[in-house]
Amino acid sequence: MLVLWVGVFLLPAWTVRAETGPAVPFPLIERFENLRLAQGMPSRKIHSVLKASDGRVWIGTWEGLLVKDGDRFQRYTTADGLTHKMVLCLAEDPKSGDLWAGTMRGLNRISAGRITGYLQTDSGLPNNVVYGVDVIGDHLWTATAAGAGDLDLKTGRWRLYDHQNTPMHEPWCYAVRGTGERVFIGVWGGGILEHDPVLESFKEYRDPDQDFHFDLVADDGPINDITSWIAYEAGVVWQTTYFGASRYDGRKWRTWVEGKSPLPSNFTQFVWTRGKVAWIGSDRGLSVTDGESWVNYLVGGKGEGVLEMHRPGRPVETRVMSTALPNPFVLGIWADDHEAWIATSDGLSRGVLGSNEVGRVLARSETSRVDATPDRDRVAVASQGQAKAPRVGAVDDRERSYPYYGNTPEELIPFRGVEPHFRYWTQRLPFRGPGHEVADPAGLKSLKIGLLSPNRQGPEAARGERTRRGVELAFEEAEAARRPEQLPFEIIYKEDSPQWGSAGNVAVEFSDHEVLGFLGTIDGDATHVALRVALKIETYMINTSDPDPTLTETQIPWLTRIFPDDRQQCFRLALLAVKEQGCRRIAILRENSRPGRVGVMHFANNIRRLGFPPVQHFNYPPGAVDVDSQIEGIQAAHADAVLFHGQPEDVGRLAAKLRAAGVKAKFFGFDRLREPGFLREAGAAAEGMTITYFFNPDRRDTPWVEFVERFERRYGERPDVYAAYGYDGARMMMEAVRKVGPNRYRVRDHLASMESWDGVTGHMILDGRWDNIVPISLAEYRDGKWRFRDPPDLQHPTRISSGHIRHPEGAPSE
Amino acid sequence: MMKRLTLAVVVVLAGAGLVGWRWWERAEDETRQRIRIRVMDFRLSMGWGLPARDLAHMRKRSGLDDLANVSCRNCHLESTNALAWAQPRVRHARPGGMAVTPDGRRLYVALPEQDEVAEVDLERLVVIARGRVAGQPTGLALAPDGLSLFVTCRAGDRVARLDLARGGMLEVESVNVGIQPVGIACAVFGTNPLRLVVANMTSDDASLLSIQPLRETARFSTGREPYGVGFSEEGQSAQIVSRLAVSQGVHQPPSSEITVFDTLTQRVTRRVRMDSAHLSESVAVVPGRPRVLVPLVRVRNLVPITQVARGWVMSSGLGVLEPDGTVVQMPIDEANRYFADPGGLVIDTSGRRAYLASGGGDVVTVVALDQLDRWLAQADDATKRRAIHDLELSGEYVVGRIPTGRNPRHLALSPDGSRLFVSECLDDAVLVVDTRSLKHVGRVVLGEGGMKDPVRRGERLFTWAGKTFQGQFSCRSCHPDGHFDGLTYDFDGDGIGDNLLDNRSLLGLAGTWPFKWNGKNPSLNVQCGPRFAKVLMRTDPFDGEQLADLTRYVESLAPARTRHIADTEWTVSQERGRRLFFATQTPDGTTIPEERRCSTCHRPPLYTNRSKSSVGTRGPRDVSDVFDTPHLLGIGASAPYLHDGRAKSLEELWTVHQTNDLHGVSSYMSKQQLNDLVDFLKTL
Repeated sequence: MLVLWVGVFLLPAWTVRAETGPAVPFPLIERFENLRLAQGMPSRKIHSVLKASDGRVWIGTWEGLLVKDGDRFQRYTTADGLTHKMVLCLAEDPKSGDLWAGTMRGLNRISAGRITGYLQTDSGLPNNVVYGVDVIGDHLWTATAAGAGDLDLKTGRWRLYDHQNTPMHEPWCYAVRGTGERVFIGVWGGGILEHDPVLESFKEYRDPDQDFHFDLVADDGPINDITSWIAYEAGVVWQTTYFGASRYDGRKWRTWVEGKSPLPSNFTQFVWTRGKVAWIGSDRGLSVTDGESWVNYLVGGKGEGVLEMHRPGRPVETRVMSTALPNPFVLGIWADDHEAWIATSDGLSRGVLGSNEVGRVLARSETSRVDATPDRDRVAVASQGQAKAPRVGAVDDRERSYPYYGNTPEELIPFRGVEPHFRYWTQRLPFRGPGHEVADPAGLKSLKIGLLSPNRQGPEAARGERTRRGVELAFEEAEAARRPEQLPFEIIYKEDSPQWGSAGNVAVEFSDHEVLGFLGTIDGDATHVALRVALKIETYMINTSDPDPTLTETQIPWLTRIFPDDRQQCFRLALLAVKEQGCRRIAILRENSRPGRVGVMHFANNIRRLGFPPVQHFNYPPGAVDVDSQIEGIQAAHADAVLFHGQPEDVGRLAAKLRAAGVKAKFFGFDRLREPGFLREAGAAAEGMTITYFFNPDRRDTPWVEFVERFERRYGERPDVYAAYGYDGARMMMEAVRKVGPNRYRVRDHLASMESWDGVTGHMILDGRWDNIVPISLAEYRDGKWRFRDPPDLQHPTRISSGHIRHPEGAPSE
Repeated sequence: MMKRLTLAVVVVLAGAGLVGWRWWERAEDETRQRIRIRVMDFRLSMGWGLPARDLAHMRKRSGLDDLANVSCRNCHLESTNALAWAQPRVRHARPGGMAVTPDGRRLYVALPEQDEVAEVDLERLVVIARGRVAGQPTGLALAPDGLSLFVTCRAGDRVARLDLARGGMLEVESVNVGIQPVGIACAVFGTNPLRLVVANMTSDDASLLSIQPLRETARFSTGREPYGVGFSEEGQSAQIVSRLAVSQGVHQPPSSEITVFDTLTQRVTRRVRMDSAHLSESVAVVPGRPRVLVPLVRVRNLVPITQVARGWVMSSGLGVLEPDGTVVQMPIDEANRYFADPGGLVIDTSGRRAYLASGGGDVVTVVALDQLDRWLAQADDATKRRAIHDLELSGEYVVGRIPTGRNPRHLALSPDGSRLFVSECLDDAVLVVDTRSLKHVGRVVLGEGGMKDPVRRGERLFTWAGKTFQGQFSCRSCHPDGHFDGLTYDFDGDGIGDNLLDNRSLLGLAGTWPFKWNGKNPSLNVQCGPRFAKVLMRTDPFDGEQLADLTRYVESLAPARTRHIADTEWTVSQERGRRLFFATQTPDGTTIPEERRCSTCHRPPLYTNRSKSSVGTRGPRDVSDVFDTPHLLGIGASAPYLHDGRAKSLEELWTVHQTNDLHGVSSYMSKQQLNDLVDFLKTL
């Protein structure tokens, strides 16, 4: 075998026919010239790169901003006035030559060496986490974690665009690109927003599937609503997402997913355009395409460069290059007709562009389409019995399959009976960036773990406090059990949303403190924003308290959620209400807020799939007292069931009002209704309320009983689910750190590789998206007590050894 | 008969009373309020005191028990029309920028108060023509061929071109630039067409203009309040000096900027920091040498003002910008004599002499550049760094001091360098000096000097350093053009290191008593009188007449303008912000307590109720939490904020320095709303 491998590489020229053929319509990279730590990069991770009009190359790194002028480097850090060391994005003002740099904390204008910083606290910048920046005419646009900002460079006035004045649902913006005629904003969870600066209008482009499970039909719109980057040039919009890539030319959409197209990975995070050619960065390398022809620059298992050429109607051709990208995790690109600068997770690369003639082809695949087997890590090389071409390696190439996200019951699978164009979440996304091999830092005094808690003035403050108690108990116990040679753990406390949803800003502070991982929080808004930061700062988050079902849909491989979410609860409730209890006319009454909206989303979809769509769907403002019109509507609809979602006090009050109005429908709700506020407000109306709950708090298994005792001893009261999951989350994190050491990447790998875990809350089963899908209980309030039902057995198998996806009809798919 | 008369009088009175009562009932609230206030004014003037009900009302609204300095007028000032700065002023022939024709026969002088440019015959030293240029013509630049004169119109936010070719001065075209353009310079580089660079003082940027047609081709950011513009010898690079310094924090040293701009590539190539230096108003390149000279004031605001001697508070100097971007700050003051407010600067074409006008000292200083070079050549870096503090050093290179009339600011040289023209701004004249003998040889009289105008007399006092110890500084030194320097000071009278005070603008001050951050000075007379003499001047105070004139001048200063003259419409954001400012409820219907509404303390039209208030902003070294409510007119131009200048921007008042809604209820605001509020405030 070794001989064959050697033979592949050292085949004399005459044994391989050098071929020329139709070129791809863009130049190829002939070689990579890499710059790493040894060559002067201040950090391994390079976020962004831009070659300015004066020829200097600006480099945004994890440790400051670098400018390369010839062979010289000059570095700007916070000591020079840079607002934060992590520089995420760059843009040049073509009129003035000023450089704009977005960082994890603030925006910077670099002009002739002077840095002027803009923070959300001292200017009109929407948020300090600046993911994207572009200069469009006399305007500087920013895409931030809390909206898009438009700074008029002449007047100094800011305009802010968020969910309150545009169609975007959430204000989390990740990219912005445009011309004077239109500006495109990549919105997290909002697809693409097109803005006309003259008309001041907005238009959105959303994924028509409206479900992150799959791409139902190819080329039908944006591939996904989680836009990671946007590029716009020559009338064509390119979109990258963690679910594939898309292109729109004003009339037609094209979409690409791995396995079904030349796109090597769905986890795409950057796109740069040069005319009609796009350069796409993913976690597997660099792709260049005009939409028809593709050239992928990958990194083989031994670190060698692999060029993969896809041309319509021709076999895939593969070539081993003499040089390679320093790392396949591509974060930023700048290219012109002569060179390409590529920012990766382990260095910067300059790709020298050369002829677009096809060079020495070493291998050609038999088929003209890309091999779509799950085992894509192996590039298939056919013919003459040659050994397989170098394996395009991933750090984690496990073949474990997770058939359906969240253990979705068969009858609730969307578009049941239709095999979608592409299914997501069938395999866990690995993290292909570097970092695992980095030596443990020297001189550590403690092992820091972050705790992101709700704001003490906010509606989740009390729950956050209970979580904190559980976490602290775990830390205290760990400290008591610590051996002398072990470092102590230290909690770094931060509150989310200290001002204007600034959870992202706060999460950045975890990086400043160099935490090894962090826990929290409750509010879905805050957790989403923190998660996106977690991806950038490459620090794992264990979420112990956020039920937002959309949280884990983002495919970011830096999160485990042990708190069963509203999706799980919606499955149970939908089956309970329709199948078990025979309800047919179900109304929904939920809080007018993001948690309310997303909390009932799956319930509404589920009962519709069961054949009984909601007969009414009302919302109410938090603290509402007057809900007469909602009650009238429910009565008019003759609802036989009402699903509530909201704060327990509000739901209790509304339940009482409904009963007082003579509504006899069955009442269903979520876990929070077990809090005292519900009973206090509902009074007699609580009778018969059935809720989902995580487990029976009166259970007698030893881990739970002993935990309750210890908690009571410590705090003088019984723990609730927030304390319990906080405790488990903390233990899970500390266990990981103890096991693999103080390395964030190894911590990630350890936590992300878990299939299950046993905590005081019970046995956890972690699915393909790292959600705890352990079946949950139900509880009915009857005769003055909550009466719990044991959870059902896990019905849907999670292990399918063949690696194939189980077809809904039962037959394995191809 | 008497009975009938009495009855008639009673009936008439009753009828009048009835009519009056009916009228009063129907009168609008505003009218009734106005009448009540006048009645209160009358009662107070007669020493009768006020009714208990009204006293209770005033206590409630002001939050004060001691109503000694409180009257109805605190909140109920009807209009600014009666204020001094709203009154028409005498327009004097104050000279502004000057330009000499290439043949040396003519001098053009901007007359900003009169909206004119004067043409002077330099042989006869008389004005031979005046051309109208609307919008406060300030700076002048003459095209090398002498056929066009470019004028910055400070109040018009534009640059005008006057055609000189056909005799006379006809404005033929105009282009909008940034806000309040002042300095202007032109140059030709190689075969490229003529370019102009304009410093836009209030928008903190500069414009690059091309001609034929006259248009703005680039706008670039500068330091704060760019003022003077110069060109390199070959004409490619422009240098723009900025007047105000910026510091990164209350206890951080400030620095101002020299911006170097390449007019060919349209790029800023360098931003030079001048540490602890500010108020640079002009810049000149030394011919034949790779040096640029910049007048400056070395300010020592971080040091408590325990004394004034030996340049303790500030001293004047000349910045020497070297090719490597470093600036050596050289003193022009002497150990026991100071030459405050350095302004205009010119260098003769041989590069051997520089002339620097000191507006506060009524002097033009002559600097021998060869001697300066010699000193610089032998000094090491450490010596150069210390130079500005050595007030005996100026003797090495200052070769003359030419006394002038009041407030010399602008300078021009004849093409052969034989004559120096000095604008005597508060004498309405241009002094002509023979540069060989350094003697006066004539004077161009532009106006009558304005000594009958108390405002003019007051301005003379304001700009004159003669009333401070050894002439170290004038009022203008901290309040250039009546505005401010943006710095924080520590006066020793209330404890060293305690009660740091942010310098405040004097623009729009009329009617905003009391004064001083703690509100202790009920009038400008008290503010500028004995206290000022004791704390700062360290000499005899102004006498009664002088104080009255000075006060008249200060009160005549209109609020700062922060919007472009063309910016007449309110934006949607500004309108939203206005509603937030005047809100009585939060969006969810919760009532905002009256004492925590913006408009209660910052009541229009001056946006102050002229009372003291506690808003939770006491610092660790402040003895009190109660401060005078500042007025908000022109607030957009007076960063930093709060009494000690700790808030860098308006946003920081409610973010970094949020005081749990004590400084207005704002915690409910979204970022968008805060942006709107700030947008509105910047319109005031």
